[in-house]
Amino acid sequence: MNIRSLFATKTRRRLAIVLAVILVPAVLYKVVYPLFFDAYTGVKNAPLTYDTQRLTEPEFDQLALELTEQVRRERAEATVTEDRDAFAREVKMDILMNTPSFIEESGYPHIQYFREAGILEYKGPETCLECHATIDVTHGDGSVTTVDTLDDIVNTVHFKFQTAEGGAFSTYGYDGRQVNAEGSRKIPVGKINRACGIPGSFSWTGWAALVASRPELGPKQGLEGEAQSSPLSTDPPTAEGIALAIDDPGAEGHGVSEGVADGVVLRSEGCGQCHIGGNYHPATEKMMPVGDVPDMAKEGIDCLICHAAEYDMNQRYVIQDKKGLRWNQDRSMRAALTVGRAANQNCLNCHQHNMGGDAYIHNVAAKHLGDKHQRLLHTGAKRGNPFSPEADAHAAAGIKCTDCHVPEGHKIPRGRKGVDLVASDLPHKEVSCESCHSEAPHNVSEHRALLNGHVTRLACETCHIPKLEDNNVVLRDWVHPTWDAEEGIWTPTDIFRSGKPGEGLMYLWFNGNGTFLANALGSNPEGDGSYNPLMEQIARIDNPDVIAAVRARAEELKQQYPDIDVDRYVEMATDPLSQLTPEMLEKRRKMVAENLKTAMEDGESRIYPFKPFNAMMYEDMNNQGPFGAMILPFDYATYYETGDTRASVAKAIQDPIVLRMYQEPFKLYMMDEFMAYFGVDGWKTIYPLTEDKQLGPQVEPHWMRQMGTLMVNHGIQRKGHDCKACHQPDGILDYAALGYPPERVAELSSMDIIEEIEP
Amino acid sequence: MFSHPQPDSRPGTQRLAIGPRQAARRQTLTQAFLLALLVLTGSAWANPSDTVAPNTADPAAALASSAPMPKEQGLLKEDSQDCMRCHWMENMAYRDRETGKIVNLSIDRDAYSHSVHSELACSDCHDRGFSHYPHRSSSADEALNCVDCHEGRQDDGAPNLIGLKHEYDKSVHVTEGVEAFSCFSCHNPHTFHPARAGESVVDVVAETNNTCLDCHTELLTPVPKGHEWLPRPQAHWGSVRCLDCHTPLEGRIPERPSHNVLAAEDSNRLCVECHSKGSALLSQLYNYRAEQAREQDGFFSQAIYNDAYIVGMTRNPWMDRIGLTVILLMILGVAAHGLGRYYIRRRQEDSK
Repeated sequence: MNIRSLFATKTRRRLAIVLAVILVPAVLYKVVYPLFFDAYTGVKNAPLTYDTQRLTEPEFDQLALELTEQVRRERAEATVTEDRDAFAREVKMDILMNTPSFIEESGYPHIQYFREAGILEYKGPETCLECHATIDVTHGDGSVTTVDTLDDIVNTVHFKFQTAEGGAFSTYGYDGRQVNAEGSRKIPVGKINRACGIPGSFSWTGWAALVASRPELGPKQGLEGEAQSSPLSTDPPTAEGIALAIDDPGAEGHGVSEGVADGVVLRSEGCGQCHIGGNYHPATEKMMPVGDVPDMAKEGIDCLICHAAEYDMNQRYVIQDKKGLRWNQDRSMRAALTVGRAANQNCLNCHQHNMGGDAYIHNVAAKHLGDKHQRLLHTGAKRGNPFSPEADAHAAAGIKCTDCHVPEGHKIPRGRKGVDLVASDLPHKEVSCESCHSEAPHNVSEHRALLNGHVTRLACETCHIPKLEDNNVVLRDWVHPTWDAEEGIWTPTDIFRSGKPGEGLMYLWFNGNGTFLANALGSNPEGDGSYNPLMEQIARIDNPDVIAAVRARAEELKQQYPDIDVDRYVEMATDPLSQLTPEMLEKRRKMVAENLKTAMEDGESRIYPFKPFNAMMYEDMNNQGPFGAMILPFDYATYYETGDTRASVAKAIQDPIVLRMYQEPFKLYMMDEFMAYFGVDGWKTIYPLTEDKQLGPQVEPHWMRQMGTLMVNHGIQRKGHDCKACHQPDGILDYAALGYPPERVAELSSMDIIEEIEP
Repeated sequence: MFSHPQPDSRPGTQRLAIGPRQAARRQTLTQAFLLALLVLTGSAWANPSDTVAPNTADPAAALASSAPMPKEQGLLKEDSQDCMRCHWMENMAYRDRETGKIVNLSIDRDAYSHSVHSELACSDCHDRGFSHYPHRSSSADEALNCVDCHEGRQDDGAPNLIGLKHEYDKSVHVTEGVEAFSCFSCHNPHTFHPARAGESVVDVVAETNNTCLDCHTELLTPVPKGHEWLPRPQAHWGSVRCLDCHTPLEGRIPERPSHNVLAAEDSNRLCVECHSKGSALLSQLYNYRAEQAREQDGFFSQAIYNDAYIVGMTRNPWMDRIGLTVILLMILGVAAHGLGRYYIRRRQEDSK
C-alpha cells in the first residue's frame, strides 16, 4: 500500500485528516516544542547516569546486617544511660540488642521490602516508583487524596523553585501590586530568578561549576571545627598561574587531580548542590505555560537526599560528562536501604546552608564535602541561626522539622509570612510558634502574665533569638574579591559580619508582607506615622561601630584596590540611598508613600527580628529604578580562579538564557511585568555585552539601594532577652525609629518598672 | 485573640450553632410572614402582647450612654493609666496552674469605656496592693463584691443589687456549692453593659448564652447532655436564653432575668409555657425588645420587624378561624360531592 492509496477514497481522506488533527499537535507539543525550547534557551537534557552498583544476594545480606546492627546499636546507646559502669553498660546494651521486641522495633523496614521484591540495585526514582507510583496526601482539613508521586514532587518548589500560581506570595511589588495576585497576569517567579544579594542565585549560570583552586596550605579535609576566615594574602597568584585543567577530557569528573596541573585542586560549586533536580540546569521548562520537564530530567531527581537516613553527602560533587557539568548524588544501596520519612538531618543536608551556615561547627554536611572535587565552603553565614541541638531549643527537644512544617505530600509549608520572593507550595498553611505554644506561652516566671502580654506587639523570635552566629554576613562586596590562601580561591569580601542585635540583627514591624527585594513590611499600630523603613532603617546604617568596622575593612581593601575612595566607599555601603540622583530619590519617596502604604498597614504587625543584608554587585543601569537595578550574575569558575570580576560577569551573561532575557519575546512574556514589580518601568533589552565580549558602559558596580531583610525563625533559645535589653535608654529596640510617639518612647525606654521588678 | 475559653465573654462572640446569617434569614421569613398576615387580616394584631407595657429603662443603660466622660475619670485618670501601661496588652494572660485554663488580665479599653463602670478608675475598685508591680495582692485576694459595692454607692446612682443577691442565694450555683463561684464567674465588670437599644434579640441571646456556655462546655456537643428531650436544641439556643427555662416562671420582671438559676430537674420542661399564646418568653426579653422597637420605630414597624416568631405563640385567632372555616368547607364540599355521586349511581342502577 503506497501513500497515495491512503487518500484514495473520501472516507480514507477524512480519516487521514482526523488523524492529522490529533497527531500533528501532539507531535508538535511532544517533540518539536521541546527541541525548539532547548535550542532557544540553551538548556540541555540528556540521559543521566550515575555510579550505581548491583549487589549480589550475599552482598545485600551483608549490607543489611551491617545497617541493622548499626541502627540497633545507636538505639541501644541512646537507651542505656551513660552514667553506668562502662562494662556494665556494654553488657546491658548487648542484652538489649538481642531482645526480640527491640530487634523488631529497630531497623530499616525497607530492607525487608527490598528483599521481598528482589531489588538489588538502586536506579533512582524508577526504583522508588515501582512501589510508590501514587501516594496518599493528607490535607490540612483531614481529607485524603491519592496523587501521582512523580507529578507531586515535580510540581513542588523543592524541584522547580518558582511558581506562577496566584496567591503563592505574600510579596508586593514596589508598584504596590501583590506578586501574582488573583486577577493579575501571572509570571513565573521565585527562587529561580529572584533578584537577591547572592549573584549565584541566577541559577542557570550558577548551577554547577568546577573551580580550579590553588590552596597554599595543602588540600582541605573538610570542616575541622572552627569557622574559616578569609585572610588577605600579600602574594595572590595571577590568573595565568592557574591552568584551566577542567577542559581536559581525561578529567571526566573522576579523580581529584588526574590531568590537572600541579597544585591545582578541582572544587565543586553551584546552586545545584542544594536542589533535587540532578540535571544540567534548573527546571527551566516549568517556567513556560506549556510543556513539562523531560522524563530524562526527572530521572535525576534525588529521592534519597531527603529520605535516606544514611545518605552520604560525600557523593554530592560536580561531575563532567560529554553534555556538561552536573551534580553527582548518592545512589548506593546503602542509602536506599535506609529510606523512610524525612528526618532533620535530611533537611539539614541542604538547609544548613541558610540556617547555621556552611561553616557552622555542628554542621554535619559540611564535614562531608565530597570524595572528589570537594564542595567549596561558604564561610559567611546567610542567616547564622542554626537548627541544631546545640543552638536551638526545639532541635534539642527532638522536635522534627516536619512537626512544624507539616507536609502535604511533597509540598512543605513555610508559613503564611514571607518577606522574600521565595515561592511557597502551601502559602496559606500556618507555621507559627503560637500553634503549639498558644498565645500565653510563659508558664514559669512570676512575671509570666507581663511576658505574655508582650506577644501582642512582639514576635517570639524577637526575644528568643538573642543573637545570630558571629559569621553572619551583613555587607558583602562581590566586586572587590580577596584571595583566600587556604582555599586557594578568590572570594567575595565580607565587609561586615556580625550576629549582634543592632549590627547583624535588626528589629522591624512585620505583618507577613514583604517587597520584591525582600524588605519586611509592617506598621506600628500605635505609631505616629513616622515609621518608614524603606527610607530609614533598612536604607541606612547609623551604628558608629559598624561604620568604623566598614571603614577599617575598606582601608584594608584599598591596599589591594588603590582606586577605592574610602570615604565614598563607606558612604555607599552604609548609606546606599546616596547612590540615587535627587530625582530618583524623590520618586522613591513617592512610590513608598503611595504604593506600599496598603501592604504596610495590612493585618496585624508585630516587631520581628531580621537579618539585614546588602551587597555590592554589577548592575545593568539601563534597568535601574529607585529600589535598585537588575543585577548581573558571575561565572563562578572565572570569579574564584582569577578574581577578575568583570570578566566573570562577561562570561556569565554569555549564557544563552541571559541573551534571551534581553530579547523581545522574554520581555513580553515576563520581564516587563517582573520589572514593574521591581519598581522599574519596562524592561530595556539592550544586551550589556559588546561585540568583543566586553561589558557595556551601562554595567556599573553598586550596592543595592536598601538592605534586604531575611526572616530568622530558628536558633531559638529557651531564655530570651531580659527586660533591660530593650527597656532602657540605649536598648536594642530603637522605639523612635519604630515609629512610636515621643511620650511612648520615653515610657518604653524608662527603667522604672524594671527597677521595681529587679530592685 | 485567644482560642481558649476565658472568663470574659466578649460582646458579639457567636459561639452558638445558629449563625448570624441564618438568624437574619429567619428574621426575613418572619417579616414576610407577618406582612402576609397583616395583608390577610387587615389588622395589626400580629403581636398579642401589646397589653403588657413595662417601661422601666435600666438606669445603668442611661448612665452608660450619657454625655462624654468627664476628664480624669475612668481609664483616663492618671493612676489608671499607670495600670493600663501593662493591662492594655491583649495577651496579658497566663495559664492557671490548677485548671490549665488561660486567665486573661487584659482590659479592652474600648469595651471598658462602653461598660456600665466606664466612669470608675481602676483604683476605685482595686484599691490595695496594686500601686506597684509586682502587685502585692491578686484580684482573687480582694474579695470584691458587686452587691456591697453597689449598696455603698447608691448616691452615685448605682442600681441596688440586693434583690439579685436574694435570687442568687437560692440558685443552684450557690446551693450545689460550686467552689469559688462569684458574680465574676459570669460577669466581667470591665465589659458589663445592659443590652443596647438596637441590638438584635439574636445577639443578646448569643451573648447571654455564651456566659453560660463558657463554663458548661459539655453542652457544646451535637446532642447536649440533659437536653436530649429538647427538639432542635441548637435552634432553641439561638433564639432563647438558657435562663428562659432555667429560672422560675413566677415573679419574672421584664428588664432582667432572674439570678435564681435552677437545677436541671427543677427547670421548666413544659413546651406550652413558651409555645402558647401567653408565652412565658413574653414576660422578659422579647417583650422588652418589642417595647423598645415600638418606641423607636412606631407600632407597625414593631409588628413587622418583631424578632420573634414562636410556634404556638405568634398566633392570630382570625387565621385560626379562617383555617377552620376552610377545612369545614372542604369537608362539606367532599361530602356533598360524595353524596351527589351516590345519588347518581343509585339513579343509574334504578334505571337499568
